[in-house]
Amino acid sequence: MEENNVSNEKQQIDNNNKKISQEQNLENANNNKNDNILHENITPPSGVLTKMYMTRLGKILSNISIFCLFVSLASMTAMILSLLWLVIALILIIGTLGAIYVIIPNFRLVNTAESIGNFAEFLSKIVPYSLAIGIVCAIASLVLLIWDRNNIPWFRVVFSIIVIVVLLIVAIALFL
Amino acid sequence: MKELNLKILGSAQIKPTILIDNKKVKSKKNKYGSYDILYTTEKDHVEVSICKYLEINGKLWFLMSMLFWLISFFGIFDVPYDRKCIVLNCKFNLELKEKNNVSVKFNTIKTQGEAVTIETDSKYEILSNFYYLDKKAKKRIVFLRIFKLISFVLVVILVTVLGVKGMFTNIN
Repeated sequence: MEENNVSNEKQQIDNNNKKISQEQNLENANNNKNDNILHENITPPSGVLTKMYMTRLGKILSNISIFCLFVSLASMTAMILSLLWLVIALILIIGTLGAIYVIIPNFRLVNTAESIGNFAEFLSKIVPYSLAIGIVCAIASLVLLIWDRNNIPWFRVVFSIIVIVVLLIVAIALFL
Repeated sequence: MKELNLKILGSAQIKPTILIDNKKVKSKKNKYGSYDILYTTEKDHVEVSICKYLEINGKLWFLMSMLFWLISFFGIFDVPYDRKCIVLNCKFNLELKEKNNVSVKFNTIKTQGEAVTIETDSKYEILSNFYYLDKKAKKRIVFLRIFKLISFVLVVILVTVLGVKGMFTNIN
């Protein structure tokens, strides 16, 4: 009797083990099926990939146009700053009746104005290029970003339009 | 002609690609961020695929990433790749009636469980429905980051050396 019970128990254990291994096989088969399905679909189709690349290029050009905007605005700001510094310094000298040189021994009107002026001059030389590159890059980025009509990054599109408008205003202000 | 009205909901984060019988279909995005697709066919069955692809899984991924790195002035103006690398794979066969309304809702992005919930009166058979963390893509992104960093440092060193040489030749 005991031997029969033991053999029955052994049979049950064997059956359970078979079930477990069958389940594991099924799970592995499903995982392999999923892996196969996944690997079938992992490479984007050429049309989808082209749109992804165009969106990426559009975003890069948008970043370049933003940098050119900063350079152009800095050029205008530097010119304004150098003039502003001259005005403030003259007011300080006249207002304190020259005592500013005693209060601040290192106070130099000419050197500081000169360095700001040099920087403004450098920027004014590169401004025509930055304006041109900025406008071209902003227009190109606008075209590329609108290409994939289902996934338009509206924030960048609006920003590119703002960049074009501001750069045109800066161009008119600097060259007219 | 049988008509299929397919609505894809909750897809703002995912930006999926929708294929019917392995062909990309035109979809309209409405003001709520959902996709509306109207598809007509004479077939009795169609296979609908909703996938999210990663740019880094393209065929010439290394060449293209290097090209963009150069265009963006050695990565200064470059746009980073999607770090999460979660891929969506949803495929189901749909048995078509005269008019079919199918609504597909995206579940929260998790690597376990179903990716989408399908609501329809038509008969359908799910072939795959999961999110998957693409480890290969993650490794590629890490490799690209290291490669670009080393390349950028080498470019800076090269420019500095050329600049110093130029200064010396001017002085002489």
